[in-house]
Amino acid sequence: MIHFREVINTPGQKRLLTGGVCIFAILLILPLILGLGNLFLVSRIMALSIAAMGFNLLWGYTGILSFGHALFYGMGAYMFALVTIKFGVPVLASIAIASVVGGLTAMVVGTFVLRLKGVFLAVAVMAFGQLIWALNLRLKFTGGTDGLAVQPSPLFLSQVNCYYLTLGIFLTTLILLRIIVGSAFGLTLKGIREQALRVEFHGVNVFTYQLASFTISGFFTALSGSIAALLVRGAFPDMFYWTVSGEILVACLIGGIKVFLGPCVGASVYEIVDGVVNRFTVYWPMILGTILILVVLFFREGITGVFMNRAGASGER
Amino acid sequence: MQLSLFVAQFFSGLSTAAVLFLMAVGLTMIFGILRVLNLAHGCFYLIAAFTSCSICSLIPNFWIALIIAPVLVALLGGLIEIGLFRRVYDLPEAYQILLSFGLIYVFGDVMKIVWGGLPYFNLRPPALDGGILFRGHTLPYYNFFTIGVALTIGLLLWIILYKTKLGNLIRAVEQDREVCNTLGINSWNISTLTFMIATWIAGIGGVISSGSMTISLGVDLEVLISAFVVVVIGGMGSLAGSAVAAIIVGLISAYSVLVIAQFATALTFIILVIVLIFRPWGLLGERLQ
Repeated sequence: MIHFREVINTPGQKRLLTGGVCIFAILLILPLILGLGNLFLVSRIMALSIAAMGFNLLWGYTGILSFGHALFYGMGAYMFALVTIKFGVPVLASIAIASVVGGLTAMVVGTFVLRLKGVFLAVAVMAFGQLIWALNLRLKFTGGTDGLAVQPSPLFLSQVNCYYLTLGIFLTTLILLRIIVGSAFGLTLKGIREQALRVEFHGVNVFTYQLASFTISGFFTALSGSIAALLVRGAFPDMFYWTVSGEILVACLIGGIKVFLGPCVGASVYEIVDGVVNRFTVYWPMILGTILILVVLFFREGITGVFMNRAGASGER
Repeated sequence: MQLSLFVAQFFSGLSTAAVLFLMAVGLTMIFGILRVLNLAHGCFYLIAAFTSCSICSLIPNFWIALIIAPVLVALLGGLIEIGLFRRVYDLPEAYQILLSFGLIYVFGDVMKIVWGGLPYFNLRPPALDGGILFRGHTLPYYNFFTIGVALTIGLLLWIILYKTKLGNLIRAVEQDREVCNTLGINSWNISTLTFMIATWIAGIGGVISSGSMTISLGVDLEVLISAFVVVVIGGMGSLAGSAVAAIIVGLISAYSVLVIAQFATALTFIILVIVLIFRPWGLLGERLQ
């Protein structure tokens, strides 16, 4: 565990903390300023951020690339919808159940795929995801191609309340992930990313750590999926489709994986292009695609990476 | 099962396998030789299919489209390789995946602008209409044509890769790009050529499919995933593996439609998962590490 006092001692960290508090204050009063449409957009940004941050624990910190996180995202969304509809479980409990199931799914999938490496691993996770996608389209109890529409309890019929719930979960996620990243566990993950063999020689069971990272990232991705299901009032087959995995990956890369909050920045860019540019032109995918290509060609560190370099500070990972 | 139905499904499955093979072989070449995972491969297929529809509406001759459209797509592929993919060969896989993911978005919109959102159905050459009547079941000529084209391409590719100087060069670049460069081989030209061959084959697959199925936006993603399944089952980078896996997947989906129509798609993914668990490097792929 990193000591809190140690963290806030440097001037840079102090500035970061002040900035964080300011942003939090703004987020808190946002419903007074923004219209419902934009509020929904901010909720979506936070939801995607949760998935992207969870994904980044696996990719940025542990160095494992998965191209199938749509599986956990969809699992979260569908579990949320199922327990809400079939058993009338309250919203918060449904979200918790959905996330845990998503994490367990990740654990099962992880035990199989983590024996592979690189692209093979990424594709293997995608294979599992597509399997569930194909099954889900045909299953009766998940609504097949129609998906499941959810009518949440009266409290969460209002988008403002949904926004505050999302905000709360988002902040909790940030704090939890920050603790994980700073802990001995997080440091071991980074060690595995750099030199897996060496860490193994130190007596660490690399596989267990990788599996834990995979499970945690699956948990947060499912959490994100369940919030998305609450926001859009349902779970739909496209949430399992492999392009969702791409979106999560996109959020991480646009934002930059070398900075803790990078994925949040990327998620914002993604959702803004998706949600705002959408209002002006139907050709928003082309704009998004162009951004992606430019990021890959010229800004490989992502947006936060560019700013970090500008500030002269080496990115903290 | 009746014999006639069995035979009919056999050829239908093989023709599915043929198109899958044409897609998978390009993917696996690009992965094996250039070490890039090209998610945009399905786009080349779809662009060729749309282009062939446009060509046929100008000059109503399928054969001309079959020659021109893949060449155009190969030229496009060459440009993309020179302008974009060449820059990411040495980067981590994530960047390559992301670059091709971005290309999917861009190509998708370009196709929407050029061809609109409407589905297309191409003219089939009159010579290939109809089929052989076999005990009450029709075996379409078009299926035989598709299978024939895939066999020809497969053979052609094998000759190019293993019997010509060019093939030697391509395989040399696959082994070690650095050494090739020091030996005075322009490995970059070889890469471009490889990419163009792969997209040309995808283009042929697209044109052929345009004669047997409805072409619309989004087909590129479906085809990509099916081809991906074939590539992974067969072993990434293995041409023979792609052929074997394409036949397996094609036949299994043709027969499973008769038995468990609902879960035919899921079945191919189940096979994929089983292969990944027990033989992660694929049926005929090289075992890494």
